[in-house]
Amino acid sequence: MAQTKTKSRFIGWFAPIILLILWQLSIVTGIIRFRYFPSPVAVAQAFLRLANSGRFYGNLSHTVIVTLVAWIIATILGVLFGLLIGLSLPVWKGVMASVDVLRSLPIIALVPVGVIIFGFTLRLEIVIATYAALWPILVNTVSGVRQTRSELLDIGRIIRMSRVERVWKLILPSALPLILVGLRLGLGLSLVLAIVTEIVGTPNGIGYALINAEQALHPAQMFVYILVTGVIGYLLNGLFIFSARRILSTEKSAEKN
Amino acid sequence: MGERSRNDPVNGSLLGQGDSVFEVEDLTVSLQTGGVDRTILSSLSFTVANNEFLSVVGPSGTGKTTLLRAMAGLIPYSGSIKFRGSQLSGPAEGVALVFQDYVNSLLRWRTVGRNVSLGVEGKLPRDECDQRVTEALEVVGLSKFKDSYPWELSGGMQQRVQIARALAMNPQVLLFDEPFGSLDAMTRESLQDELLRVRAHYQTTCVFITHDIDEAVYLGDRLVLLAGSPATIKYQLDIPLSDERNQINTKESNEFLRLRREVHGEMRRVHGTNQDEV
Repeated sequence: MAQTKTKSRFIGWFAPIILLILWQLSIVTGIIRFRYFPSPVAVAQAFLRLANSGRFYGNLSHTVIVTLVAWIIATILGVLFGLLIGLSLPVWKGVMASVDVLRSLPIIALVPVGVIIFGFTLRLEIVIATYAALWPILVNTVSGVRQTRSELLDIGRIIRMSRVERVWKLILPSALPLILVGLRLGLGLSLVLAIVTEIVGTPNGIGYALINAEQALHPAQMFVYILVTGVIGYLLNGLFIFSARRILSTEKSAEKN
Repeated sequence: MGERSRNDPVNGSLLGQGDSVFEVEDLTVSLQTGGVDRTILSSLSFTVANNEFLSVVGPSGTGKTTLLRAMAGLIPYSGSIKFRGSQLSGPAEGVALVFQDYVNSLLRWRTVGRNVSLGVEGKLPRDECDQRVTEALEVVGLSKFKDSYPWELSGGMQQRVQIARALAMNPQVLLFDEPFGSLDAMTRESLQDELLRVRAHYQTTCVFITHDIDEAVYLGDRLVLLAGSPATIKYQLDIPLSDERNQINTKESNEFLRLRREVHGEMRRVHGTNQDEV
């Protein structure tokens, strides 16, 4: 078992390594000949140079912090309003159509509107990233709450739980798996929109560094930043899944309160 | 038979006037289905005596579950349902309900023990709560699975968890909504016997809904047949079988066969027009 697992992991590395080698070879041999298309080796060299400069880490942490702050705000708002909408049929009937319209608007189209209102500020970044993360969290919370089995709700009434108890002990835990899906989607969107606002003009972060590298005609650096965003996304997602597993399993033991 | 283990001063003692736990009079229930008001139950009157096991049978879709939900205080009704002498308005203390769908009735994020404690936690002192859980699990034979999760257990075991959860509340009345309907025949028979044993242990009044006539006769002290649309009580029957029942001997006894035949006959008579449902 363990052996096949390490084997399949190794196989997973196989394709990207081959790809990198092909990439390098095609540039060295001159098969691909674009003026600003760097080879993997050039990208690696650019990475080493950047990694030794302080600005790199400043940009990196800026984007990560904005992403996380926006995501946390979106989580609080999304779960709170999601509960409110999911628990009350009149509220649900009243707002769900608007929610569906609002969340279908491509968020990128709203970025210029945000720029006019907030200028290229940190606030712009956080507002846009929060807005993006809010919808999946909200919508998933609403459907998680509404999918609570009628048996559970009946049991809550028969046991004569208070409303708060019913939400806390029955509805939230049974909605949790869907809420976690929303949180995960929201985290990804928060990162993407943070970078988009940086590319558009907020003078900080990975997106900003990326656009700077482009204007300074440093294609190798651009590739470094692109790879870095990929790694951030991958790590945030991995971290989230890791902690979600912890939450789900401590929920089991912590429920002993 | 069965020692009286109840020592709960609120639920256990003194029934008030008479000996009936439930007095249902002229009960009519209408529910909205697809925007249309439909009368499900019409003018039902019956009583459930203390410590009685009442089986309610009827073709599927007749409104047996609706009756049970009304008795659990979950839906509005007209007419009168008195529980221990007072008019029922909402779920009453001392009534517990066991659903057919055990998978969705148990909290999958809680262990078996924590599922069973759901109805008593926070209402009783901690040690008494633990004691109730331990006792209930012991009675249904799941002591070893206290720390397992429901989804790790078989269907029959999960249904026993649900029964234990109801028992831990030390209810005066247990309402069963076709609890064994989705279990295989062998599991169902063993759970039937277990239910009789548990009931003897706790001395609980039971209202048991089923569409299985054999089950209704085997378990019940009395039987009510519900049929029609809207449903009315078509027929009532005392079941004078001894308290010591047994899957083989009881079900082969002439008395059991006679009662079974009688109920089948009645069912066919009242439901003659569409027999496919029986």
